[in-house]
Amino acid sequence: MKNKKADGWSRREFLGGLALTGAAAVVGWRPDLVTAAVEPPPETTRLRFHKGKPACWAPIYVAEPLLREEGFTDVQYVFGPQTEVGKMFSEGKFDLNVGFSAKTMYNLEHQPYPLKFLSGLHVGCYALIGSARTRSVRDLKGRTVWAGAIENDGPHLFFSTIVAYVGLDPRTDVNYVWVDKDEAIRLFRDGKIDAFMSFPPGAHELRHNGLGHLLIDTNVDKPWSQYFCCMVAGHSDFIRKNPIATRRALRAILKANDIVARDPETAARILIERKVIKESEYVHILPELKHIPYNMWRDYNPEDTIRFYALRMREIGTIKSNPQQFIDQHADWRFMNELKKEFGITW
Amino acid sequence: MKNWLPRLVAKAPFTVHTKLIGAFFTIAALLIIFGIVVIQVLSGINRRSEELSQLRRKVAAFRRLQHDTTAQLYSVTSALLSPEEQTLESSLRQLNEFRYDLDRLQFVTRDEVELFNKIRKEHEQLVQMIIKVVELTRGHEFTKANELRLTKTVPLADILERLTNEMVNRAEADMEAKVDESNRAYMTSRWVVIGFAVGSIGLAILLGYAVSSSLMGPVKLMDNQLRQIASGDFSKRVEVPNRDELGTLADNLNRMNNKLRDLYQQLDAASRHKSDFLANMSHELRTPLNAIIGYSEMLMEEAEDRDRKGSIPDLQKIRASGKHLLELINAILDISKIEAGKVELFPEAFNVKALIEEVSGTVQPLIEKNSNIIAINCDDDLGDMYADITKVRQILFNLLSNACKFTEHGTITLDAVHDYSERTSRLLVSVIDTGIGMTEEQMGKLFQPFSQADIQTARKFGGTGLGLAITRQFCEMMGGDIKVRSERGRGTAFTVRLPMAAPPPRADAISSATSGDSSKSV
Ligand SMILES: Nc1ncnc2c1ncn2[C@@H]1O[C@H](COP(=O)(O)OP(=O)(O)OP(=O)(O)O)[C@@H](O)[C@H]1O
Ligand SMILES: [Mg+2]
Repeated sequence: MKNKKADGWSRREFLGGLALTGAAAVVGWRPDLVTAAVEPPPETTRLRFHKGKPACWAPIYVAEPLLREEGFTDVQYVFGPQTEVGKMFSEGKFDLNVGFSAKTMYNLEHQPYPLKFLSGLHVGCYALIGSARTRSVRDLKGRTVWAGAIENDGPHLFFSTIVAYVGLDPRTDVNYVWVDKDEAIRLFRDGKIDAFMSFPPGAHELRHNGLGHLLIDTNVDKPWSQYFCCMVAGHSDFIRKNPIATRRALRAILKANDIVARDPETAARILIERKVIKESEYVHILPELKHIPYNMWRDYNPEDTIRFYALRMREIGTIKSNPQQFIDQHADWRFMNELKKEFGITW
Repeated sequence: MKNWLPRLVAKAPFTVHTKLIGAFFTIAALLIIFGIVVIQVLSGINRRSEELSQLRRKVAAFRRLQHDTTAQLYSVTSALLSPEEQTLESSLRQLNEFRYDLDRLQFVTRDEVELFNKIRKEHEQLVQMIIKVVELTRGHEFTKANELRLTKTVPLADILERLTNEMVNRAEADMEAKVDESNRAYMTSRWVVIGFAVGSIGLAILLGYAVSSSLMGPVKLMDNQLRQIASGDFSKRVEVPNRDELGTLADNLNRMNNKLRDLYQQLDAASRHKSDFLANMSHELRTPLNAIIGYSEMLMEEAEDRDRKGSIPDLQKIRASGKHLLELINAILDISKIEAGKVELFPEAFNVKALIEEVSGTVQPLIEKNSNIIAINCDDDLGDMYADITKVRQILFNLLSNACKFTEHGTITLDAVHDYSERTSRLLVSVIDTGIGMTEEQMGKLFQPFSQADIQTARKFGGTGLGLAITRQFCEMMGGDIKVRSERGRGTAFTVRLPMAAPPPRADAISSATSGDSSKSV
C-alpha cells in the first residue's frame, strides 16, 4: 500500500478524521482551545468550492474532513470551466474558490464579479521550460512558445509577466501556438516550439521525458517565488453573511495547506479520488506537490502579491486598474489575520 | 422665446451705464475665476509630480538597502570561505554602509515611522547575527559560524528582502495610484477648463447679445418712429420695455410725437383756412373786378360812340388796372390752390411744336413792346407729349413773358429738344434772353413766392413775384424740374425738363412740395 505513511497513520484513517488532531499536531498547529470553544458554529453548513483542473489546488480537497470538523455537513465541489468562473461566481454558484491571483485579477478587471481575496494558498507551481536553443528568457525573442491553450488564461498571463520582466513585449516579441497541452508537448519534442509554460504536472512530465530545461522555476526563482501563485477567495455575499463560516472554512483550508506540505502523497491520492487527476498522473503530480511551497502562507503577505501582479500586468497593459484599487475592492484579510493571531503567528 | 433675456435686461431697473459696467464686470469675474481654476489645476499637477518624485526616492532607497543586504550576505559567505582578517574587516565595514542606508531610509520614509521601525528591527537583528558570525569566524569556530549563517542570517536576510520588496511594491503601487489620480485629475481639469472656456464664451456672447439687444432694439424702434414722424405719420407710439435712459428717451419721443401731431393738426387747419379764405376772397374779388372791367369797356365803347374821347384815356387806365388786379388775383389763387393741394393734373396728348408756336404767338405783343426779336429752334422729332397742356402752356408763357419783360432791344431764343439720354424721354425747353440778368443772390430766392430781384424791379417792371414759384411747382408736379443760369447785365437762361409721358399723379408730392414753402406764402 502506497498510502501507508511512515508516521503510522493511513490515508483512510486520515480521511475518516480519526487522526485529525494528530495530524494537526504533526504539522505544528496549536489551536487555541479557548477560541475554539467559544467560537459559534458556522452560519451555514453548506460550502461550495469551485472545482477546477489544476492539481495545485489540492488543499481544498484535502480540507474536506477538516471542514466537516468545522461544522460543514454539506461540502460541494462544483465543476466549472476556467472561462466560466467569473460568470458562475456572479451567479452565486460558489462560496469559495482558489485560483491564480493574476488570472483572478484579470477576470475581475474585465468582467467584475463579487469576489474577495481571503488569503494566500501557495507559492510557485508554474515553470517555464526552454528548449536546448534557449539559455535565458531573453532568448525567446522572436521564438515560438506555448503558454496555455487559450489567450489570457493563467499560463499566458504568467508567461507575459515573466518575459515583460526582462524587457520583452509579450504581445509582439514572441509567437504563440494555442494548442492543448499534449499537442504542445509533441511540438516541443519536435523542436517546433522553444518554450513551454508549464503548470503541474507539466514540468515534471517533460523533464521525466528528458525534454528541455528549466528557464524559470517560480517555486524557487525570485521574484516569482516571493509571491503567492494561487490564493483563496470567497464570494462577497457569502463572506458578509457568514463571517464565522468563512473563518472556519479558511482555517480548514490553511490547515490542509500544511498537511499537503507535510504529506504530499496523501494529497496526491485524494486528488485521484476526487478525479482531479488520473491515476497515471500520480508519478508526475507527486514530485510537483512536494516541490510547491505550501507552507508559505504564514510568511508571505498576500496583499503584496496582489500589488506585485497588478503592477506587472499594468506594465504590459493587460489591466488598467492600479494595485490599490484591487486591494480596496477585492481583498478582505480579516479572517487570515485572526487565524494568524490564533495560531501565534506574529506577522 | 429667445427674446426673454434682452427683455429681462431691458426691464432691469438700472441705467445703461450700470448695465454695461455690470456686463463687463461679470466677464472680468469669469476670467478671474477661470484663471483661479487653471492655477488650481496647475498646482494640483505640481503637487502630484512632487509626490511622485518623493515616491521614486523611496523606491531607490529600498532598492539600495536590498542590494546592500545581498552584498552583505555575499561578503559574510566569502569571509567564511577565506577567513582572513582583511575580508572580515571589510565585512564589518560594510555594516556601516548598512547603517547609512537605514539613515537614508529613515529620511525618505518620514511619513511611515512604523514601517521604518520594523525594517530597522530586522536589520538590527541581521547586523547582530553578522557580527556574531564574523566573531565566530575570527575565533576559528567555522562550523558554528556556518551554522549560524545558514539558520539565522540567511532566513533573516530573506525576510528583509521580502519586506523591502513589499515596500518597493507599495511605493510602486502608490505611484501607480498617483498616476491614475493624475490622469483622472487631468481629465477632470480638462473638462473643467473646456467647460469654463465654453461657458465663459457662451455667457459673454449671451451677455453681449442681451445688453446690445436691449439697447439696439429700442434704438431701432425709435428710429422707425422718427421716420414715421418725418413722413408726417403721427398715429403710432413707440413702446419699449426699458426702464433705463432709453425708456425715458422713448417716453420723450412719444410726448414729442403727440405735441407735433397737435401742432401739425393746428397748422393743417390754419393752412386750409388760409387757402379757403384766399379762394373765397379771390372769387369775391373777381366778381366785382370783372364787373368793373366789363363796365369800363362798355363806357369806353359808349365814349367812342358818343365821341367823348376825352374820357377814354381814363377809362383805359381803369380797365388796365382792373385787368392787372385780376391777373394778380388769379396768380394768388393759383399759388394758394397749389399750396392747398387742390391742383390736379389732367394729362392729354398734344403736339409740342404746335403748343410752342401757339404760345409764341400769344407773347408776340410782349416781344414787340420792348423791341425784341424772338428765335424759335424746335427739334424735328419733338412729336407728341402726354401731359397737362394748360400747365405746360402756362410754364412756357411765364418764362417767355419774363424774358420779354426784362429784355430791351434784345433777342429771345426758345430751344426745344427731345432728350432721350435718361431712362424716361424728356422735353427740354430753354428760354434764353439777352436782358438785364441777375446776380447770384437774386437767383438764390428766385423760385420763392412773392420774391422779386429787388424793390426797383418791382417798381419798374411791376408783377407779383409769383410767376416763377408757380412755374416751378407745376414742373415738379409733372415730374420735371427747372434750372436757371444768369449773369448780371448779360442775360438769363431758364431750362425746363418735363417727362414726355406724365407719370400718374402723386398726391404726396404735391402736398410736400407746397408745405416746404408754406411759411413764405402765409
Ligand atoms: N428773364 C429774366 N431776366 C432777369 N430777371 C428775371 C427774369 N425772370 C425773372 N426775373 C427776376 O425774377 C423775379 C421773379 O420773377 P417772377 O416771374 O416770379 O415775378 P414777376 O415777373 O416779377 O411777377 P409776375 O410774374 O408775378 O407778374 C423778377 O421780379 C425778376 O427780378
Ligand atoms: Mg413773371
